[in-house]
Amino acid sequence: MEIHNMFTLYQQLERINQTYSNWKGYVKYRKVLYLKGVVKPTVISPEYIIKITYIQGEKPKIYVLSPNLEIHPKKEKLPHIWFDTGSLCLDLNEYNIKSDLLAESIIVWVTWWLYYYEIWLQTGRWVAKGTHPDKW
Amino acid sequence: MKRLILEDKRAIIDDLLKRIAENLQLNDSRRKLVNQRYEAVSKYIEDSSGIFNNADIYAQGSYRIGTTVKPQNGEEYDLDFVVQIDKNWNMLSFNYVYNEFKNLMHANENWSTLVIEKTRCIRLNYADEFHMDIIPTCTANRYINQNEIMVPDKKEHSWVISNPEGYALWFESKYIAQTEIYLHDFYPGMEVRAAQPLPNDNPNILKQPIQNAVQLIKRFRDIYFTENEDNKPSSIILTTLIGQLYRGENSIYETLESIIQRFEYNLEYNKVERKQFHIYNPVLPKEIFTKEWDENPQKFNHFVEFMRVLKENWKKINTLEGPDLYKLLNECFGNSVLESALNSQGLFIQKMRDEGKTGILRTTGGAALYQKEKTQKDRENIFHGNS
Repeated sequence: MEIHNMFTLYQQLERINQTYSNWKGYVKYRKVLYLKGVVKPTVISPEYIIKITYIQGEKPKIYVLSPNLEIHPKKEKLPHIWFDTGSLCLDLNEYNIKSDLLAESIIVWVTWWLYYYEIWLQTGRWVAKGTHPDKW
Repeated sequence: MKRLILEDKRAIIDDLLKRIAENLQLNDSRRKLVNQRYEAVSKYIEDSSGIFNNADIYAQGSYRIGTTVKPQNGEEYDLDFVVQIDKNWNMLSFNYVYNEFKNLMHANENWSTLVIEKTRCIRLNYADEFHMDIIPTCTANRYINQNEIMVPDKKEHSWVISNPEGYALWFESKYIAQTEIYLHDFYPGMEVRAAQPLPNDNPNILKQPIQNAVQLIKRFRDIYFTENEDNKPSSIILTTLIGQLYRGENSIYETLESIIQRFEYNLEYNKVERKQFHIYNPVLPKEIFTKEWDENPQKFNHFVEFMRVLKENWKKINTLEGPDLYKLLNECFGNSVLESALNSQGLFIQKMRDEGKTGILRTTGGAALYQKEKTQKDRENIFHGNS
């Protein structure tokens, strides 16, 4: 069964702890991994507080707790977000829930989402690779 | 390439300033067009049969030293050229030379409709966003200095001396080695480029910090004096001041900071000595660029106030971050140039990502150049989402 090849939440957390000092987390009821990170994507960026909730086998949900995300004056919505949950949408299935480590993918992409968001907020253009380029 | 610009405050600010400056100057396709037109005009003049046969034709001013700045409110770039002949100007009236040149330009059907007479030059007023100002001149004394020229001046009603090429060489003497430029270590491929002599047509790649500083201060001036055009200091005043106060600083940021500081110091010194602050032509010291400050002291006061506001803004650039910093840069240099600068920086960084050069710092999550111990390696992704 494929499911046995999956990293456990504890393995995911262990790898994050080994890799980063700006992320902390814990596993609740063996089912949910909660992560909190302080991310400064560039030296002139503010520090963003990020929360990730990850249920084994599901897509991780990523939220920016602070500072408040703003919307470009000529746009109506934030780019690359799941609007039902408010989670950042970092990938088009590049994260393989069966075989990937959060430390090597999702957490890396959080930085880039924030960097490109900062540019988008000033220019209204999302200059990284993304779906729906006309919209954002 | 040693680090990513996003890891280093001086580099990220310099990169933005450099991109802002690039958005202000003539772009590559415009430069090509200028060169084509320059070559066509040159050939026509050189091949002509009158006194301008075989003349020396070259650029002067901001186009020559690579400090052009897009004018505000749909005005045109002003590109200056010199036509120099080795004739004895003492034997020729200034009017004669000027009129001969005017007739020559009128005689060609390509340009006859574009010709406009100005005080010293003939302007070729093209339909697009720049015009060419061409001055017909004679070498002042070819045994002393080939670069000193006599210019016909219809307002002064005489020949006046000038030395634009000498000025350009003076400005260039301030340049530092390409490899010393702070941003040099932050762009891929610079090592190769540094080993080759740069082509003269000045690719918009890595300009000298002093060139970028001139462009940015000129732009800041254009915005600052928008409602006060009469008191606006000229570009030659700003360029000369910057050239005189520059001491080989290797970043745009430090260049501006040092110039502002040294200007203040000089101002104080002159006050103590009870002297009027003046800016002289470094290659023709008798020429005072700021003569009008004696006749019109309010212009000097406006200039000092302008430098003070520049200083206030500059102090903030070092302390602000994120949207506040961008807001300030917008105020200083204009909204659309910052937008283009940020977009082009984002695309540049995305290219680094695509080439597998990037990583994420293990300590702050900051974007960085990939180095095994310090960073987690980056991985490709496509941002998605719904609406």
